[in-house]
Amino acid sequence: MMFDEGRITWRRRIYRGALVLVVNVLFWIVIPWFLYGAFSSLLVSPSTLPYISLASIYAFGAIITGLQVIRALTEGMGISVFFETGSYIAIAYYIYFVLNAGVISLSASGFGITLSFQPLLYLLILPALFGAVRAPLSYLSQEHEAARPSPDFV
Amino acid sequence: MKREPSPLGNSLRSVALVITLVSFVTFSTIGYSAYADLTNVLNTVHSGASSPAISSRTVIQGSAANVYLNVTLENGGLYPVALSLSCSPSAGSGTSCNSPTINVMPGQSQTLHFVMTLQNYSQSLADGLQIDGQVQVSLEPFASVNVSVNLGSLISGGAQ
Repeated sequence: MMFDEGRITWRRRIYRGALVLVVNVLFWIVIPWFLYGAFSSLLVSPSTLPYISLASIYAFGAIITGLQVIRALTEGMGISVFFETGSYIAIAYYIYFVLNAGVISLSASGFGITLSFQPLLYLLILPALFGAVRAPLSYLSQEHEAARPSPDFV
Repeated sequence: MKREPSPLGNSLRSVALVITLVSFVTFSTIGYSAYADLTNVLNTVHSGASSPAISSRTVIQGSAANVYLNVTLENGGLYPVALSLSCSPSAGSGTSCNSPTINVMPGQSQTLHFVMTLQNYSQSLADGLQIDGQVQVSLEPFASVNVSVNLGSLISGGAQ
């Protein structure tokens, strides 16, 4: 449940934030880093993928992980909606960016290959975009329960 | 005390479930179709020009050469597959082609008949002849692969 109606303590937020940190670093930095290395080794020239670099993978991974961790640390507060929405938008843009808007051109073994998969790209980013819309709507539908002060502040 | 979820919350949960299910079914079926079709295409390619799946013939009449290429594609996947072959017209060698396209429904097979004509052909040009061609295989309506090939290699062998 997005907005817990029970008492959310800072201990719980920190535990959850640490878990979110580990999972997101694995999912958005370590796994893409491995995939990038494996994919680059298959190509004659890695420069055929000019739009992807390790720096961009690290940057997007840090942004997404940071937003998710802050969202976990502000769980139960109204401000967490902004971080959750922001993280989903960042995820959608990351997928869109890494897959080069659904058109990837490669050159390998003397062949020029162009992969085009825009409908699949939209299907990939749809859950993230829906999550970005769902977060504020869920917040509003729960009658601002999440906006109440944390017990730690009382 | 837990409250009952609001109607909006229920609707959002339902939409999320539908998106998850649609994504899962779509990617599963696409993965299966891509695997089945790729296996068929690789078997076709690896079987070589001597197999019934791919046959080519070059007919030379004076300074003109006609290349006939027939490719039979079997669709073992769940989605329609489109195959097209085209060449880049060249004024220098007088290259032109019919640029055919076939749409193969699941469980069916179809043959692509490609004809390429070179108006200014000479035997000395046959080796190393570069004719840019495009092979496009589409898994309708989700994805397509476009491969650049040298159609000049079709002429160097099997000339009659």
